[in-house]
Amino acid sequence: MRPVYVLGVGAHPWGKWPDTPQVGLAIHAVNAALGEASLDWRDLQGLVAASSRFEGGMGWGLHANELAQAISEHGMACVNVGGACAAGAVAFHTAHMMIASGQYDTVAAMGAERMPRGFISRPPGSADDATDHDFLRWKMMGATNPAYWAMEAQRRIYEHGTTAETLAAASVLMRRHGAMNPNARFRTPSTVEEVLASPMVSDPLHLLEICAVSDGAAAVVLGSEEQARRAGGPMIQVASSVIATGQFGDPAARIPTVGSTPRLGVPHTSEVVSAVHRAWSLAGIGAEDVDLIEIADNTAWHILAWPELFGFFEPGEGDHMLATGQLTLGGRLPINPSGGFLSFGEATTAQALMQVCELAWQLKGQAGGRQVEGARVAMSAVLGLGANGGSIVLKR
Amino acid sequence: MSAQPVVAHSLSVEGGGASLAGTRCISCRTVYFPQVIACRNPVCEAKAVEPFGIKGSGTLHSFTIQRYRPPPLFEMDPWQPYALGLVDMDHGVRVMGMIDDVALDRIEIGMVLDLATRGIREVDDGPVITHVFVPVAGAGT
Ligand SMILES: [Zn+2]
Repeated sequence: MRPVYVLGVGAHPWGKWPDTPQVGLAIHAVNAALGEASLDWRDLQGLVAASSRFEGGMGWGLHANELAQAISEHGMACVNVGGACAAGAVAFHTAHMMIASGQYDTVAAMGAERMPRGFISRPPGSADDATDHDFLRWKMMGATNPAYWAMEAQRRIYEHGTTAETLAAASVLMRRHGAMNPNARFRTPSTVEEVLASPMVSDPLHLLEICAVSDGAAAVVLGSEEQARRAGGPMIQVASSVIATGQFGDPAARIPTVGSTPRLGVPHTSEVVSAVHRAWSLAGIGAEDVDLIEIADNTAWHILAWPELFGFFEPGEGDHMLATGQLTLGGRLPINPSGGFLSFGEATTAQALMQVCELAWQLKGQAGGRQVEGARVAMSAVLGLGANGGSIVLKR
Repeated sequence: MSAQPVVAHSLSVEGGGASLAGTRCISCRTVYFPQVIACRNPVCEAKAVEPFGIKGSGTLHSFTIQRYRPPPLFEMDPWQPYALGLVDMDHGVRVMGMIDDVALDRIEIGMVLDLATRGIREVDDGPVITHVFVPVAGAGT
């Protein structure tokens, strides 16, 4: 394997864009990334698309082939990968391996999504099936996505005494970061009082403690060392990229399961924990070397729990870290300087690539008011339906 | 008039007790819900499974109150906010379901709950039922 570098990153701002087709969002993001890389479409040797089921002309989500046919038919390799909300990490990993293999010098990874309104429900046309968790959770008990996260939060309150104010403060922190990010959808700072006054969706989680769904797109252009020197600017290297799936006995309340087999000693959210630990190992680093982390904060609970699951803090310690400013700029482990999912709203396939955009901007010192001073090692962690986990480490 | 499960072949009521249609591994004895075609325990070599009825009581691992009406696939009628819980049953299987017959503000992690059934709506032939967890009879309120 040879070293791989980030040549450029780009995004279409998150929001609700009913008049912009999914392909249009995607092209916007790739154009921005190509601009940073000083490349044209015809210079791309490969394009990996994070594909999902929500929208797409051919019924299976947006494919790289559709972009080629829309904007540049030059014969590049097109790869289309799934992985739900972790699909962007799978796409990045694929592009990384394509360059590392030596067969390609320039490959982009891209995700673009236009999300349906409200609760993410069952895909249309799915068959009734008494062995399908997703069918059973809707039909037998009406379990929405927030219900799963809420049960994790309720358990945390039971085990660690986390207060309603602490959960709300985690949400407030994300909005404070997001207010400084032009790509975020929700850029108005909030207060603990406002969060607690927002409607209770699924106890103990309020509306402002749960990520919304948004439309958005993000892209990353990767390349060889020679390409990185040509593009100019600071050399941002991919220290590692890892994808993983869950382990038998994982105790997480995993969407959309209605029955699980928890076993003692198996890590919670094992697909992400495995990816993070392997990413550290391959990069030759440990928790103490990480200058900032972008995590999939589907709710305020994730902000408190995930750093503990990865081993940054002891179980239950996250509440104190939040209260003492350790999770923001200037603290021990700045979490989601981008503002996270709570400030973006989730655009599934694009989300993990938006995380990588933020890592790159932070390492290049281009993050403006949300800049983590002197950041040299930045990482991401993401979870997708189907027990997909991904983690990416970039270094300067 | 007879009760019918909201999902055919998922739930039965025999001899007064509710039973969820699960699967048990013939070699490592792992119990699964819903039914599976093979054991997914990576250390298990045989992988062969047999039908297994999940019944009885368990301990509440966690819960939530669903305050918003779920999408229409869930046909509870009339609708009102309800509790959902994760219950650790015998044989190490954790099952999710509605919690019933207890005030929403009296639900506590660790309480012992029985697997039971309740109607979520009426059709001409009788109630459409799903599985629920209810406080063990006589255990107080
Ligand atoms: Zn087995």
